[in-house]
Amino acid sequence: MALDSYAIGIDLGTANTCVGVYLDGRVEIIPHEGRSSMPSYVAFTETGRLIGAAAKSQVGINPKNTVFDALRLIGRRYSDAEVQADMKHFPFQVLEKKGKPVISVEYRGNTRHLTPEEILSMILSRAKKDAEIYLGSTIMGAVITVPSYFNSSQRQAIRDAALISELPVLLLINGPTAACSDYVITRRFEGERNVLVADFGAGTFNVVLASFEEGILEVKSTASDLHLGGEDYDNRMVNHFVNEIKRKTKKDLTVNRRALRRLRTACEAAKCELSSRKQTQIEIDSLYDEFDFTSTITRAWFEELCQDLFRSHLDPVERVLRDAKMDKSSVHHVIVIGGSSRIPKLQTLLSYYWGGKELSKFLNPDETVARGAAIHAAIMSGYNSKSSNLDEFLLLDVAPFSLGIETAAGCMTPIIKRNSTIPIRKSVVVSTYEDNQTSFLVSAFEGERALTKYNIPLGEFSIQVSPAPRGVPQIEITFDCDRHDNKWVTAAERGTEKGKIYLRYFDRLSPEEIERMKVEARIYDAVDKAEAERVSARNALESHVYSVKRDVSSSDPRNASILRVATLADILLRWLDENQSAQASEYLLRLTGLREVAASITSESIDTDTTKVEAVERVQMPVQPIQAPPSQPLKKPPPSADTGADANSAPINVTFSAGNWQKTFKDST
Amino acid sequence: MIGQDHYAVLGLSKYRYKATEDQIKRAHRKKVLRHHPDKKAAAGSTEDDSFFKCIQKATEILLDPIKRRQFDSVDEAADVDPPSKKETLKGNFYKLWRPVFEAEA
Repeated sequence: MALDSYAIGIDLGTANTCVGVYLDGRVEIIPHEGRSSMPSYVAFTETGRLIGAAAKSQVGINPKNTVFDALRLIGRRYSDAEVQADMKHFPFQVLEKKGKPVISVEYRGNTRHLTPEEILSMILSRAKKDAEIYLGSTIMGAVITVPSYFNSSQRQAIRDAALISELPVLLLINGPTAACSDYVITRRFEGERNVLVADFGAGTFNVVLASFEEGILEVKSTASDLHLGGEDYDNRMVNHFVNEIKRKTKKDLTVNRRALRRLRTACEAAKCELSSRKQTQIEIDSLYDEFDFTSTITRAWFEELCQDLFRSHLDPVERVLRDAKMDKSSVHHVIVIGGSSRIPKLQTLLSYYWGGKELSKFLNPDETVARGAAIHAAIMSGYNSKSSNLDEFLLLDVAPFSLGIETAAGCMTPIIKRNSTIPIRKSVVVSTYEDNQTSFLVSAFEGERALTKYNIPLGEFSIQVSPAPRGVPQIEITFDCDRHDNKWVTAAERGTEKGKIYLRYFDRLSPEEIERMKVEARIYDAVDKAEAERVSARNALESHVYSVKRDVSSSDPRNASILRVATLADILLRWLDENQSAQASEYLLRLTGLREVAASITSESIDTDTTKVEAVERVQMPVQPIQAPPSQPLKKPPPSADTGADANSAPINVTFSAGNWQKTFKDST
Repeated sequence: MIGQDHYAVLGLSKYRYKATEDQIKRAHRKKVLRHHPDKKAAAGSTEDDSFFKCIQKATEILLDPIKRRQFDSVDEAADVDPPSKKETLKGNFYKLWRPVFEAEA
């Protein structure tokens, strides 16, 4: 079944982004440069912008302008403890702008300040482009997964990022929930099934408990630990080796950032290897002052280093069970996803917690989230409304945080409780706190803490109340939360007109800013496109020059016109070597010039030398029409410009009408 | 919202307080599949989730034993009016009064 427009699922991860699409009853993963996932990296260089694998592969030579982990910064304030802590590890520069973090990069020789939203929008638009190429059609929208601990502000920031990349968001869902959907859809269970998904991410640990019956997947509860993940194990191992180096060589590695970075990369690789092997070696040449570092680590030693971290994975697991009021024996399936789910110790730990129960593993823990997202994209877009199994499938998602109002003495009174199924509407009746109060301030917060000052403010407004003794007026406050996590609050004294606000995080990007970023994103795209054209023009010229050279080398070298072409080819090669970053139009100019010369020779000597005719014809064969960027129309330089060309500047001033070229050529010989 | 008939929302008007928990769960699932905004978005209609919210509220109350008793105790739709005088004169006593006694018991 072919459609002119598809909905895709995007697993937007801290480290990797994976894209899936639902086609003919199953999910396909859209490849990024031959691999199933795209590194969430964006790099800025002298010539342009790189996204994905290309950006990651050059991180070593361009660390300052290669941005990653933007997901850790998005929707946060600069002063947040997490941002401050993460900044210490980032090789790129993070600055403050209106209280929010911005990333400073060098792009084509200029310093630019980019918000995390812009970085993610680049990743999203790349994902969209990959999908468009793969499917050969347009993308109508996407379901994007987010870490389940993301608050409203972070979720909104993701929406803004999608808005900038002009990718309509059909839905945002939590990563583990998406994985769970994938699991129950692939397995097609009968009867009631309770499924627990444990997502071992790079920086966080998320758990979701859901029950599935007759096509309805109802999320019961979620919990997460925001500082527990693969990177924490890396840190432990790095510290271990830093101490070892200190002990053995009396050198403090922590002062050398580059060495530390290299040690970290090696530790990460060693950690991955220890999942399949009992012991592994770390070797880093000239880690520090010509000092080659070699060491061995066993799996048991690694497990010992991280034992307390491994243990603390059980806390969120216990919390979801408690929140869902479920016994661990009523959980039918335990699914583990995420990179660290491969660590044997973690698997046995979870399995042991369930009394030796076998864990359900996915064939591919890295793709399953994108698969789940793709399934939801198909449902939301109505792709499958007629046919198969998705028709009977529905996800009941929950609100990730409690929503409430501030009551006397700064207390948080939750109205919509955490883990309630959304969409939802809830009302409460409250009253005044003082005698003859004339106005009542409704301030809405999100979060689990008992005092509002620790929670996230969402908005506030005041309503009129008729004066009365305290406790008499009845004020009804209603919270509304829809499928997309949009929230409204209405409040009014019974029987009067209602005040209503739409809740949003205060720090959101303004529509003007989004509009500006949209325009900028288009400029980036145009620049990238021009750069691609420039490179292809250069390659076209280069390959043409080489093919000419090849052809003349097999011809008679004493023939003057052949010699002429050969020399021109050499000149052009030298010019190419010196002008790797010329404009596309300059390359095209020379390309057409070379063709004209070659053509003129063909007509000159067509009767005398048949082999040469063949050669020249072959020269003309690889001609491909190359369009110059519209902004730079192909112009021939005025004839006067090259009359004064001397031998040294000849390569640059070679002109390309046949007659003039001969003149220049004579001058230079 | 005030005065919503939770049984009617779930299509259980026939059973009212006699509906079992299982019936309520089943009815809820059936309604949810039809009225969830995700499904409506797919069908192309505008995303109006107000009825879904009603379904959720109804289920929440009916699956909570205390809240359900509170609702049932003032559930006027469950009241069975006694037969009129005219009917009693010529009708079968048991047939006419059984529902009334059942309801009031």
